[in-house]
Amino acid sequence: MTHTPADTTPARFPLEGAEEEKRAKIRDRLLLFARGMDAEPLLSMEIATESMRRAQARSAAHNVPLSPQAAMAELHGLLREKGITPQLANAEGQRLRSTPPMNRRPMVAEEMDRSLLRLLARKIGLSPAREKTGHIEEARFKQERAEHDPSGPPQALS
Amino acid sequence: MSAQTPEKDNIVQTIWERAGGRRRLLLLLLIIAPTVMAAYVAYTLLPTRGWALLDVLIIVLFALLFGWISVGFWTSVAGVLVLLRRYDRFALTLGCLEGLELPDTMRTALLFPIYNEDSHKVVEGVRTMVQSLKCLGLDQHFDVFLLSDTTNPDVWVEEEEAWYNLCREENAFERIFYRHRKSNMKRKSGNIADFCRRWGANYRYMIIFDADSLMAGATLVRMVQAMEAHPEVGILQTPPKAIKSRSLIARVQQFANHLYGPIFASGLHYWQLGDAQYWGHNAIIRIEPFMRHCQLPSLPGKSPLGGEILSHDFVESALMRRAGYGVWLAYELGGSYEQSPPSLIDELARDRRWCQGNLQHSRLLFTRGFFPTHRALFINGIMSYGSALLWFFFLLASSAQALVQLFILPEYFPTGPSLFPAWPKFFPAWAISLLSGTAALLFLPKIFSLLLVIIKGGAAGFGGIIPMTLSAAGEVVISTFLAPVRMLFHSFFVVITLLGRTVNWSAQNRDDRGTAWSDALRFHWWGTLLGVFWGLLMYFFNPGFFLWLSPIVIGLAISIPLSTWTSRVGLGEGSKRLKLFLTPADTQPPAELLSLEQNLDRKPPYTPFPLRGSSGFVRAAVIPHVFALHATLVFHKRRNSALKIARLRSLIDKGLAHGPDALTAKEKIAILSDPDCLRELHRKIWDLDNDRAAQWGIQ
Repeated sequence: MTHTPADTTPARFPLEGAEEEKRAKIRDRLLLFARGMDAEPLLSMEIATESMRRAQARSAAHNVPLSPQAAMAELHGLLREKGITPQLANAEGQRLRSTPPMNRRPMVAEEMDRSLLRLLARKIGLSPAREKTGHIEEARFKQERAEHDPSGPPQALS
Repeated sequence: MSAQTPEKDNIVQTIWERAGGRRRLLLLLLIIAPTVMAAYVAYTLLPTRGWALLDVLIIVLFALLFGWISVGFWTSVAGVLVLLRRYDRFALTLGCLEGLELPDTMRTALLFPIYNEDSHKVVEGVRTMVQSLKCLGLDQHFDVFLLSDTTNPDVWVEEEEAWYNLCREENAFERIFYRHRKSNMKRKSGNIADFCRRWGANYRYMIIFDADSLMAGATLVRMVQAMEAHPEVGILQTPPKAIKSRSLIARVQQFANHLYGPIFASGLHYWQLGDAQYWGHNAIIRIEPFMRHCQLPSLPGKSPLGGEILSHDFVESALMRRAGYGVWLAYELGGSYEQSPPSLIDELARDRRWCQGNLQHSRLLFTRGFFPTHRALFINGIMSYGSALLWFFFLLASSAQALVQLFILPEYFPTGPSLFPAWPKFFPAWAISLLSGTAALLFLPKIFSLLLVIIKGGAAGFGGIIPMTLSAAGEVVISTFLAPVRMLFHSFFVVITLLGRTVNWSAQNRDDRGTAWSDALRFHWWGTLLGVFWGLLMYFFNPGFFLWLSPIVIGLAISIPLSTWTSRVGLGEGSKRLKLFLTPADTQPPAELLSLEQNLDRKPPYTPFPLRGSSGFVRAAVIPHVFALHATLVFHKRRNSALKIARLRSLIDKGLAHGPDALTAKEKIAILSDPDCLRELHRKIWDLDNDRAAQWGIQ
C-alpha cells in the first residue's frame, strides 16, 4: 500500500464538526463494503484504508469536498488495480459453477389414449392391445449390465 | 452383501403378478360379501323398508361407504399378518441385502425440488443426509441437486447463499448443485423433468425428496442396492414417518403415523406388490425408463380437470407400470421421514390441492395400457375425497329420513286381506350388530396396531403401554371431532373442483405457527353455523336421532376453537410433557434426527450487514459478496433489447429513489435475472447519499 502525506495527520477522537462526521461516514461505508467482500480481514482493512487515503488525497489535490461517490470510485479503482474484485471459486480454485455440465436428452410424453370406447374395443378384441415392454427392458438392462460389469451385483435375480 | 437367498428368486415379475392377482381377488371378495350383507341389514332396519327414493339413496350410500371403510380394515388385517410373519418373500429390501457397498461406477442423484421454501431448513436437511452418507464413506456415490422453482426474489437469493455456505462448509462443490428455473412450468413434475433432460443421462437412479423430507444415509444406500438387485423395478417407494411435530394436531398425526402406519404400509404392500403407488417423494426412480415412459402430457381442456396434471406421482407410477416396470413399496425400510402440516387449516389447504389432482385422475381411468390395479388406485384416490361427499349426503339423507318419520304415520292396515294389523318391526339385535360391525371396521385396525406394538416389544418407544393406550384413545377422540370438519371441507373441495374452480399451487406452511382466531373464524364460520343449525333441528324434532348425530354436529359446531387449539404448539408440548402422543422419533431418536436438530441450531455465518430475514433481494443488491455470488450463478446470455434496457434502467431509478420496498416482486425478479442490471444497481447503491443509502441498509 502506498502512503500519502495524509498519513501523518494524527487521529482526533471524538470527531468533531460536520466535516469530520462526513469523513467518518465515508470511512464506515468503505469499511462495510470491504467487509462485505468476504475477503481476508486484514486485506479488507487495507483496501478500505488505502481507498480512504487516496480519496482524501484526491480531494485535497483538486480542492473539492470529500464525497462517498469519490471514495467508492477510489475503492473500485483499487480493487481493479489489485485484481481483488470478488471472484467466487470452489475449493480447487476453479470458477464457481452451481450445476454440472449439461448432458441433454429428450423426454417426450407418450401417447395417452383415454377413450373408454376404444378401451372396451380392445378388451373384446376389436383393436390390438398395447405391448408390455417391461420384460424386454429387464432383459436388455441385464445384458447391458453384464457387458459393463461381468461380475454383476451379488443379488442378481437370474 | 450376501448371496441371494432362495426366496428372493420369487420376486420375478410373473410370480408376483400371479400372487398379486390372487390377493386382489381375495380383497374384492372380502369387501363385497360383507358389504352386501351389511347393506341388507341396513335395509331391514329402515323404518319404512320401502323402495322410496330416500331409502334407495341411503342404502346405496351406506353400501359404498361400508365398502370404502372395509378396504382400510382388510388392508390393516393383511398388514398385521405380514408383520407377524417371520419373512416376506416379496419384500424387496428385507433380508436380501447386507453390508453397505455400491458399485464404483454408479452415482445416484438426490433431488430436492423446492418452491419458496425455508432455505435454512432445506439446506440443513441436505447437510444431515450428506453427513450421514459421509459417515458411511459412501458420499461419493451421491450427487445432490437443489432444484428451485422459487418465485420469491428474497427466497431465491437466500437459497443461493444457503447453497454456497453449505458447499463451502461441507467442501462439497461439484457434489451439491443448485439450479434455479425461471418458469415453474408443470410445477414439481416439470421441475424433475427439467433435471432429467439436462442431467438425467449422467445417473442411473434419482431419489426424490420433498422440501421437508429426510432420509438416513443407510436407507439411501439400501434403496440403491435394492434397485441394483432388481432391474425390473422402476420405482421403489419408502413409507415416510412423520417427525418434528410440535403443534397438537401435528403430534396427534405423528403418533397415528408411527403407530398405525406400519400395518397399513405392509397391508398395502400385501395387495399391491409391484403395482404400488409412487407418493411423489422419499422414493427412488430408475431414470432411463422414467425419461422414456413417464413424461406427463397436459390434459385437454381447462383447469381444474384439464391442463397440467397436478397429482403427477400416481400417474407416473401408472405409466412406469404400463411400461412393464414394477412399482414397489419398501414397507420394511426405516429411516425415511417427512413433516406433517402444523394446523388443520394447513392440512386442508394441502388437501384442496390434492383433491383437485386426484379428481383429475377420473379422466385417466380408461387410459390405454394402464393396469387394472392402477385404475383401481385412481378410483381409490378419487374416493379419498369423494367419500367425504358421499358421507355428507348419507348424513343429510339419514337426517331427512328421521324428519320424514315424524310426519308420516306407519301403515298398520296394508291393502289386501289381513286378520291382524302390520306392526312396524324393529330388530335391535341387528341394529347393534350393524353398529358394532361398522365400529369394528373403523377401530379394530387401531387396536391391532396397539397389540402388534406390544407383542413386538415396541411400547417403550411410545412412552410405555399405558401412555400409548391413552394416546390412542386421545387420538380417537380428536379424530372423531375433526372428522366432520374434514368431511365438510373435502365435500366442498370436490364440489368446487367439479364446478370448475381452480386451485393455486402455493408453498405449504411448514412452520409451527398457530392458527389465529380470526383465520379460524374466516375458514370455519359456515361449518359452525351448519353444525349448530343441523344439531338444533334434530334436537327439537327428533332427539333420538340427535344422539346419533351428535359427534358430527358437535364437531362442526366447535370447529373454530378446535382448529385454533389443535394448532397450538403449547398444547402439543404440554401433551409431550404428559407422555402423550410420544413416538419412537421422540423417545429413541435415530442418529439422523439428532444430527438434523444440531444442524438446524447452527448459527448463520457472520456478516456485518444488518440484513437478515426476508431481505434476499437487498442482500444481493448491496453486499458485494452476495452480489458476486448471484451474478455468477445467473445464466443470461441474450442481449437485451433497447426497450428492455430502458425498462430495467427505470426499475433501477425507482429503486434508488424510493428504496427496495418500492419495487414489486416481479420487478425484483427482473433485476435479479439480469446480472448487468443488478451490477448497475449495486454500484449506484454504494454511491448514494446517506439518507437514501439507509433505505438499502447501509449508512
